[in-house]
Amino acid sequence: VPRLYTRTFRLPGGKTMTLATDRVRAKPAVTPQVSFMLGQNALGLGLWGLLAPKGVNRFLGLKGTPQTTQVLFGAREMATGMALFSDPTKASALWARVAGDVFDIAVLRGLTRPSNPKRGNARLALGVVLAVTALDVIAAVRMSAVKRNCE
Amino acid sequence: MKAICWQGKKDLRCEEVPDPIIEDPKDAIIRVTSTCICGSDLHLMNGFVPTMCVGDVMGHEPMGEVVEVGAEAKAKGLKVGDRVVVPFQMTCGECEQCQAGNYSVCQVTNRNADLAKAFFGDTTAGLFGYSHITGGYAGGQAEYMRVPYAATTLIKVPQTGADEKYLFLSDILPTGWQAAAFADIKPTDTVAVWGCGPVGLFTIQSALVQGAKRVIAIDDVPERLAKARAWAPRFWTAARPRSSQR
Repeated sequence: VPRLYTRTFRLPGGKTMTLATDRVRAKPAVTPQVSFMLGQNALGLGLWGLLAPKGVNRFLGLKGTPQTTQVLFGAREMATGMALFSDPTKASALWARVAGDVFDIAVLRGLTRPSNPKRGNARLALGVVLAVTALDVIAAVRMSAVKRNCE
Repeated sequence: MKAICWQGKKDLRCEEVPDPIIEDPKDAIIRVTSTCICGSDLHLMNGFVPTMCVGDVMGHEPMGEVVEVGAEAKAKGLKVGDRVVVPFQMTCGECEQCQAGNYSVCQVTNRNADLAKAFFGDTTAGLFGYSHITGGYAGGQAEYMRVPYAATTLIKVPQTGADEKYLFLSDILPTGWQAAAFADIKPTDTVAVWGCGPVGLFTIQSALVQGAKRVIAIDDVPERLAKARAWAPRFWTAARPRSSQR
């Protein structure tokens, strides 16, 4: 009896689905998956920034207007998120994220000052942004190095 | 071996994959000598087809030479050295639909038929390089490929002549032919074909072979219209959609 190669997928609600597959397949490429995941993460943050800017300001101790947060955080994250969701190989969107990360780091560093009562949250956010920035830079560098012959 | 692999939306790569082996006595291994790229490969590339998995090998329009044959396929007359075209669908030749000539809905060859039935209400045949809902089989945009149900799936072609003479039997010529056949063409009929891409061009030729009195080819791409003229010089009438609407 020939061996049947299978793949198991998780479904919403905890169920699983097992499908037959072929043994002739390539190893998964990591960078596009990381890039797609970063895009989904950006969409989530973008929605938070656009729909609940006051909540963002409260969480971080920001004193700007909600509209400023919507434009500089929500819309920006949403734009790069949508770009990567539609095409995770788009290096320009990854570099745009890196530029946004630099801006976020500068703002969050300012918010870690002792006079900010939410400095603990700001430190936490800074740590997350630094980690995500590392992923953004790695993904952007690797995606920029891909040799494209169809453009 | 090298193969074109799907690594996610808009991400196709030429990568190293394991060589195919005989996994079942009905299998054959083909050395791929030519392959088309299908318009429907764009659906996979753009992420519109669910159940593609990272690492899947693409391609469903190849042809080549048989280099290894399983015992059952050999018993049915397939042998090493045969020159063959690989259709996009595989056929068992024994189920009710295959017996009726409806090979594209073979009830046996899709290994993931339960999923296809849940999605569509019924299943297609197993397809090469076209997601897991059609069986999860590796495709033919590769140096070698495994063909299950090889004796009933493969089309043997003569050893002479360029690959391009036979290659289009894999998908686009039968698609164009069937489009014309569905029109039930009579000798007095004038047939209009909208779109002169590869399938449209084969539909034009098929309509003429099936007896159409005249074929009107419609497109707004000059190069495609020129091809239509070249392929059917005595019968073409070309019109641009916008001017024909006025």
